[in-house]
Amino acid sequence: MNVMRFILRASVIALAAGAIAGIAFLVLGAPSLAREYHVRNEFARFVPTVGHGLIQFGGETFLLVLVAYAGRRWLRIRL
Amino acid sequence: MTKAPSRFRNAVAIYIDVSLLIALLLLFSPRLTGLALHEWVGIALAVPLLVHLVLSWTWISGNTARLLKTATARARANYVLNWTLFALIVLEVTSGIAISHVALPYLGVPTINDRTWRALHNWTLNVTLLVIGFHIAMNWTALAAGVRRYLWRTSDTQDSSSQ
Repeated sequence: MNVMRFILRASVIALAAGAIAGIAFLVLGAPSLAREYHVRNEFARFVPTVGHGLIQFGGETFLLVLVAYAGRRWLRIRL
Repeated sequence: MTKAPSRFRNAVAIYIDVSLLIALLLLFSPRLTGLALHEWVGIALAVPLLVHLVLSWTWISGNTARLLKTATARARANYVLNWTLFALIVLEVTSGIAISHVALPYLGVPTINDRTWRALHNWTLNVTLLVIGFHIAMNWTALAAGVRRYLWRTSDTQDSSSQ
C-alpha cells in the first residue's frame, strides 16, 4: 500500500469519525457552564493506586472475557 | 516472495489488534492509570485505531459493496456490529475530549465538566465494552490464529513446511 492510498483511506475514516462527532455536538450542544458537573476534586478521585487499579483492570478484563466467551459459546457469535 | 508483504501486513495487524486491546483495557481502568494518562492514551488511541481500520480496508469496502446484494445475515450483522463499535469509540473519545481535565487544558483549550457529555462518556463506556466483547467473539478464530502465528510463533515450522 503506497503512502497516498494510506492517507486517502485514513482521511475517509477520519471524515466518518468527524461526522459522528459532529452529530453528537449538534444533538448535545457544546459543553456549557449551565450544565457544569461539580465534583470536589477529579484528580484526587482518580489518583492511581496499585490495589484499586489492579482490581479495576482485572475486573474489566474479566468482564470482557466473559462477554466474548458468552457471545461465542452461547450466543453463537462467530463468522 | 509474493507472500512477504501479506505476511508482514498480517503481523502488523495482529500487533495493532493486541495493542488496541491493551490500550482499551487500560482506558477502562482509570484508577490504574490516573486521569492524565487516561486522557493521553484515549487521544493516542486514534493512531492504532486508524491503522487497524486502514488495514481492514479491503474487508470494509468489499462488505459495503456486498451489503445489500449478496451478504449473508451473519455478515450483515457483523458489518452493523463493526460500525456500531466504531461509532461508540468515536463518541467515547469525543465526549472524553469535551470533558478533559488534563490534555486539552495542557494544550491551552479551556474545557467545562459538562454533565451531559460526562453522562455520554460513562454510558458509552459500558456499551463499548459489550460490543468489543462481541467483536472479539466474532473474529476469535482469526485473532487466535494470528496471535499463535505472530506472537507465540507456534506454527512457524508448519508454515515453512507447507510452502
